[in-house]
Amino acid sequence: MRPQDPTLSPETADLPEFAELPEFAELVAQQHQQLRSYVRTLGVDPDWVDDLAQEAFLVAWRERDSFDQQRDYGKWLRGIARNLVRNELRKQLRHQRLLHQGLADLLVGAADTEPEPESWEQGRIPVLRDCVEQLAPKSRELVSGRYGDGWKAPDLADHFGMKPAAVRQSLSRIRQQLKQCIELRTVEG
Amino acid sequence: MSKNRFDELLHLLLDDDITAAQMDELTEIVSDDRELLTRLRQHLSMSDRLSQYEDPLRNADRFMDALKVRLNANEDTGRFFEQVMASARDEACGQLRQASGQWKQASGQLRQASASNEKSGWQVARGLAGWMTAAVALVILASVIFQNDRQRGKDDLAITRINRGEEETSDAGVAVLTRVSGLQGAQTVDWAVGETIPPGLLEWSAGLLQLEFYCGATVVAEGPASLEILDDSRVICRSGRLRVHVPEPARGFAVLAPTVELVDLGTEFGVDVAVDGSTEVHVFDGSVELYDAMSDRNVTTRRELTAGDAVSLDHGGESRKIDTREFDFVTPNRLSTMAHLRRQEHLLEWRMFRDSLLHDPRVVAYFPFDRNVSDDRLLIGYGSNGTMLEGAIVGCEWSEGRWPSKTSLQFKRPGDRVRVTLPGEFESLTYSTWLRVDGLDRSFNSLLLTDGFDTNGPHWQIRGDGVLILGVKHPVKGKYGYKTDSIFNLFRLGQWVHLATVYDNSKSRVSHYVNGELASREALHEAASGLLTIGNATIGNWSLPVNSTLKNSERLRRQVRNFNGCMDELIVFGEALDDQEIRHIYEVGRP
Repeated sequence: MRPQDPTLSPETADLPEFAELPEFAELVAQQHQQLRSYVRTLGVDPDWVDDLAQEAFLVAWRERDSFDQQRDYGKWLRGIARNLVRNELRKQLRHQRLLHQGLADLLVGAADTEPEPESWEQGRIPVLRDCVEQLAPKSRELVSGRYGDGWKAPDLADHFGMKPAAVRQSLSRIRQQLKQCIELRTVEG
Repeated sequence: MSKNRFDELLHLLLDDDITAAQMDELTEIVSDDRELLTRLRQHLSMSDRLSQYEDPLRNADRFMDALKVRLNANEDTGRFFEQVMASARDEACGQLRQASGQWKQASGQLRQASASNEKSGWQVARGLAGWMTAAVALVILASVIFQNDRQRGKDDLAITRINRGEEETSDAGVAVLTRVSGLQGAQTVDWAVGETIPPGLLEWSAGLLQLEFYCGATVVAEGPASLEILDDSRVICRSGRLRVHVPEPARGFAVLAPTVELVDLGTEFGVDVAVDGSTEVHVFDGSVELYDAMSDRNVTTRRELTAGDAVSLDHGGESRKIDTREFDFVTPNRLSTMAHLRRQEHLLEWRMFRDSLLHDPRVVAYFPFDRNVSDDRLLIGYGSNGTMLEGAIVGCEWSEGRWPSKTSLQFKRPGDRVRVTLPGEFESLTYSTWLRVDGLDRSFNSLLLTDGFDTNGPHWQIRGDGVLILGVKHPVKGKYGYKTDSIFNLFRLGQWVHLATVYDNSKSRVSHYVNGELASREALHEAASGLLTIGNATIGNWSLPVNSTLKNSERLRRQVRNFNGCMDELIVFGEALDDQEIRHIYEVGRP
């Protein structure tokens, strides 16, 4: 059963104390990492990813009665997230939380039809951690400069004596490498 | 053909450095290439996972806390007002009638005022018009407080009844200050996010602020600016750059510039008033009516501008069409990002201060209220000589602190508390804390109370009527409370506030500070004899000594003194700090 329109004002829901919801807290703990990166793949602006993911959880909480226990929680949450992004696209005036209207449109469409980008296991931080910490020192520094300190390629380029384009290319290669490392590890189990 | 170009654009996208045109191009490329689209998705996903892993602002705890706050948000405020209204309903009928009498009087004055065109008439209307509802609410609240006062006679501290209510109703606001970034100017020192803004003049030399008017309009204003807020739907802009968003219920929101009066007919426009009075009007969305200034909206001077229109008006009122430049008018969204960055800088400064305190020999106990990852039921603190202190958290939950990536502890339920032991004996003491008070539900609301109430064991708390009080049992004259006037009213609830209290033996006085300013100073009621001790104590509640000989029935009669709100930082110094040092703690710690 699909919630009718899970995108309407999640904040107005009738909510009990969070502390009384160990199951829900558990669900959030299990799902948030993957859901957040999924939200990013829908073309949501990086600054708004967590905001939108939280909204998806709020909607899930409000609509919990309509959740069919047979289904996969992760899948259900991703459906809600897609609806939220669609809702954002429908707002005629501003798409403040999206990177670009056309791109988000394409990405949501792809998410509807294409297979899930990765398994639950692959979305977990511990798996990623092992791969990141194995990177060569310079790659490791690039990653923490870019993602931890929020530096952009030109700043990193100054720091490492590289060209900005080379920094971007290295980061791209590192992401590719990490993807393979993670896939390998999750297969090994 | 476009594979290399795709890589280039993808890299720019993931560097957050891509232009709108490049974004269009990238979209075009992936729109008919499934494989590239999949690659794009994979990179987005991996980027986000790396950012979750590396960026401390996005760690799991913080995400969970933010979600928790959002889940609880409605409930908390709803519960507080419900409580106020429910206790008021039964007990305050008399005051309510009185209030409705005032209401009628006020509406009478309002009619008179609007009949008269004189400026003084405006002042009256301004003070009363938007505020009748608030006035009623406050009278109700005041009556609840009086009621509580009466029951408090038996309590352990002398209480003087404080007449309040009248002056409070004049604390009338029409908007809330919701965001600031880089504000400069003498007036701005006391402006705090979350503050209610009454009609009046706002002037600043640089930086941005956001006002959300009670009618629903949002104004982002960039300095140098001089704004006079007339009421909840009219602003005089003598200089400054404003971006105004007017949703449907706020239609009719007006900006009065030196040469023109603008009335919004729905949604979004910008006004830029130079110091010489020349004005630009840009309409981004919907439409706006213009009237000549001082024409009292004379229809013969009426012009209408619609989305995409922009005009420049010189000080004579002559207008000519110009190009719109929307980007120069900062949106609420962009301001939010800017404010966020500023706050991060502030957080870093505070962290340096925190680290410096660890080496301050005067510190008896310092609890920064940073959530302890390995055991979050322990409140980790730092004592003198590099010792660690462990507070036992009972009931309370972790919540967002003064900055989004800073934690605080939320005290809500009657049992919530933190148990601590602070050893030592002191001639003088200084208490300092950052708090967000959500409600003053009890006759006494604990900040830090020693177990029981023994001679020279200080009790630091806030009374139900908003008075900050240090209670000390002196050896000869007995109990005495060193008090401020009421420092909390409805408008300070829900905002971060810094409180400090200094018991100074050598100067023989007690001083209280609110947000770094001295709020009251009183000579010691009795010359100090013996040293102050804290020992076993409770943050945010009151406990009896563990091996107290009281019977169970007597224990049960003890009053509940739980604090309702969040605490983020508590410092106890074993010496008296002076005005400047308190001011410094406030300055470096303000959100």
